[in-house]
Amino acid sequence: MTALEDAMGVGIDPPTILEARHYTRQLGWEERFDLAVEVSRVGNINTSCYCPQDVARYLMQQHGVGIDLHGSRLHVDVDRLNEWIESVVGDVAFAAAIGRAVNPSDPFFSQLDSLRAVFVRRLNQYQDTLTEQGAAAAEVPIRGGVDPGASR
Amino acid sequence: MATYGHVGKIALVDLGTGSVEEFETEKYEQWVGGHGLATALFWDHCKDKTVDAFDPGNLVVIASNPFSGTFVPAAGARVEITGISSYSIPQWYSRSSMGGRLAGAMKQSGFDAFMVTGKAAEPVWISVVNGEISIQSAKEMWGLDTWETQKAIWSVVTRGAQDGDWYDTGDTRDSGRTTQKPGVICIGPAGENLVRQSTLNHDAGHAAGQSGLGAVFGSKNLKAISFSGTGSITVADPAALYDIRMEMQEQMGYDPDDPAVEYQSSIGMLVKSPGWAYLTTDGLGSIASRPEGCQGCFRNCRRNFDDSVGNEGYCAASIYHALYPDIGSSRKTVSLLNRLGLNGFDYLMPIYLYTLNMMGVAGPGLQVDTEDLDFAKYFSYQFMEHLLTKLAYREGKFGDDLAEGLVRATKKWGRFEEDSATGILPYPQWGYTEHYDPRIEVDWSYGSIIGERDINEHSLNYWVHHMPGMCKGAGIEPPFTPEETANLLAEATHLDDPMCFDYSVEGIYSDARLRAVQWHRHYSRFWMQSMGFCDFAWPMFVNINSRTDNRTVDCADYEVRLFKAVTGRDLTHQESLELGHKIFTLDRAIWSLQGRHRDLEVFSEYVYSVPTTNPYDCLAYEDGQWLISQCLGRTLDRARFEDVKTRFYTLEGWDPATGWPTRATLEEMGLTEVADALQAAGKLGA
Repeated sequence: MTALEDAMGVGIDPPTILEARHYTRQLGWEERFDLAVEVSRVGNINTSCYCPQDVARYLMQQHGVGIDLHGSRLHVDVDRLNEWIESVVGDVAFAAAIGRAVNPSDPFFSQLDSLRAVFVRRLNQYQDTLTEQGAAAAEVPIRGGVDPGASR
Repeated sequence: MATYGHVGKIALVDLGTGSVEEFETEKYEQWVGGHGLATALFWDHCKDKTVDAFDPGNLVVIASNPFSGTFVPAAGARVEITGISSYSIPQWYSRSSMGGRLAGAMKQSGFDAFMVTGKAAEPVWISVVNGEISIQSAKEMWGLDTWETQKAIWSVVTRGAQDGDWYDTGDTRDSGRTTQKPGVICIGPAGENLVRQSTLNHDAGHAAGQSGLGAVFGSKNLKAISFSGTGSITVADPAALYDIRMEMQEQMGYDPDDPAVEYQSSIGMLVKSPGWAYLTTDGLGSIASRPEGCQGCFRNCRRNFDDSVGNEGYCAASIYHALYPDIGSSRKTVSLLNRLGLNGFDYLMPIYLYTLNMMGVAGPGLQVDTEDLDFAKYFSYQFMEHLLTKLAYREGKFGDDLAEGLVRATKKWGRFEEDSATGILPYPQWGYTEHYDPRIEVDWSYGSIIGERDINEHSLNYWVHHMPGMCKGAGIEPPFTPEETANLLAEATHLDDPMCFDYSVEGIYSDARLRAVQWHRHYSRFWMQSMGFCDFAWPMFVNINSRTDNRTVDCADYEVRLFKAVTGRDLTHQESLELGHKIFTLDRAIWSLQGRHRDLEVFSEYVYSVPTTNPYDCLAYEDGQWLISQCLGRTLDRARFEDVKTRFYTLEGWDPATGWPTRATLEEMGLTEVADALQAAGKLGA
């Protein structure tokens, strides 16, 4: 973790290979995290995430001022997300980093920007750890925003 | 006889007998055009209005309006298309519309409206050229997608002329020449296979999608109708029309040298570019593209690409798989939907199926057996291509089930009761996808449940929901405070009461709110659906990016001035609303004949019992002040909604006990024969 990362709140120590495998596993229906994508033409679309990579998928779609390629915006309860990362996914360090990086008093789109930065950082760590260790691919591919067109 | 705004003739083609009849438009002058004209024609010419959508007796009406084919901004391009819907549950008399070039082409070919009934023995298409109607074999076209079909027809009608070249429209020296490609409305494989989500398509991306009328064409063995001609549309005062057009363009258009187009919502404050159908251009990369507009419009909201993929994509189609992380896949899906002729508004279907998959209910060999559909590829274009192909061709039992519409399929799978109660199947009424939250933005839900389909009218939605929410999220100052917004809408709608726009827990049941819902129904029935104003450009109550100092727009003033300039007839704003009421009441009479009763006007269970859990910013008057409420924990109260129905029916002049129009109301509107028909059927309100 660099001093700059720490100052930005996105600094997290890399996971071990066992941790990376555990945190990127696909969860079941009962363990899901729900969020909403508000699409400009239709309203809120409720959808579910089954791993941090799913949350990242929606975060990575957001461009610029909070709207994405489709004119959508996310409704994510950051507190609830943090709790899910910590207690369901089990990545306490990740949750702590989110807590440091996201300022609840910022405008919501700014909060999403911060959240995105932490997610990119952590998901790339997952991927790096698994790759460097020559481990088998994670159950659910990890992107961290670097390969947005790939399929699961 | 041609009159100002009308070319004077209406056609009725019976595909069963091959007969063609023509009628004078003048007889229907009181219904003006679009939905009003189409519904009056349906009333007169659909002998049994209770038949199944796929019965040969179903009548499809394509109706232009006086503005069609002129350069009235936002209204010069649209046709209204009506008939018994194959999609809705039950199959109501319903509507859809499209822009592009079709309305102008139809009038240039000599007709204000075009009706089709019966069923052809073999696949056919109809060619209309300068008033001449011919039914031609479509055996060679059956199976083609909508783009291939149009190209094939263009080649026949233009006699192989290249784009932009002149071609003769007849065989004599004086039969006329044009460079305009025929305006073609057609179906793709989905319509041929009677898929209830199928559309009628025109050009690359114009589609009439929400009523399953593509499948009705398919049931008639009708592949396409092509309109071509050299006719013109006479307007009463061309100079006045030109002046109004330029005035509107100055106030609402954009400077081509410094484009800053307002998408009507606050998104327009952030995305100021023509061709905003895909809303941001960030993801377009190096793909060359340009804005594209419908006939007569200066907004140019659609976009065409150098590689043609996703051309003219718009509305729900452009976000069909809103979860796609790249716009390339999104553009490919747009093309696929349009080529197969499938409704982009069924965008929740793949999401619902994925949810069932994660629940362990749907998948290969599971309770909902999706056969070879690979959910591991859910976030990819390959998944969508496989799913939509199965749907369009009714591939396998799963594709066949889906092709009946998702709600019918869930009933067959035994999922409907549970999933519409929990809300994972958010289809609140008549089998239609949720479109804005029915527990909060009740213009949509009330309007849809007392109507025939999802209303799909954004006129108030931009200001009460999108603008404040987007500004709050972005942390930018909204152009208007909540109180100013309520006052602005009260003034713009001429309702003169800001409480009409209170979406609070109490406000959604108030008399003032019902007045606004009533206004919305009547206004939309006339100006949007009968005069063809496009929902994505009109009514533009406020133009944030105006090049003038005046950012508020008196739409009502423009509307009646345009009406006068084109038709030569005086029409007050109030009279236009009364016409909207009359048209809506005739609709209601048809639905009554089809079995409508107030007891049927009930939402899916989740609307009443599942509280909202995600923020839904909406204008509200709470604790003595105007604010933007997040509207969390909201449900619709069942008993209070029943009371809403009673009061709304009373406002409309319908029987509160049944929801059927009364004789007094119908006779006051000059619709005595409609009252007689309802009485004969035992469906006249007391």
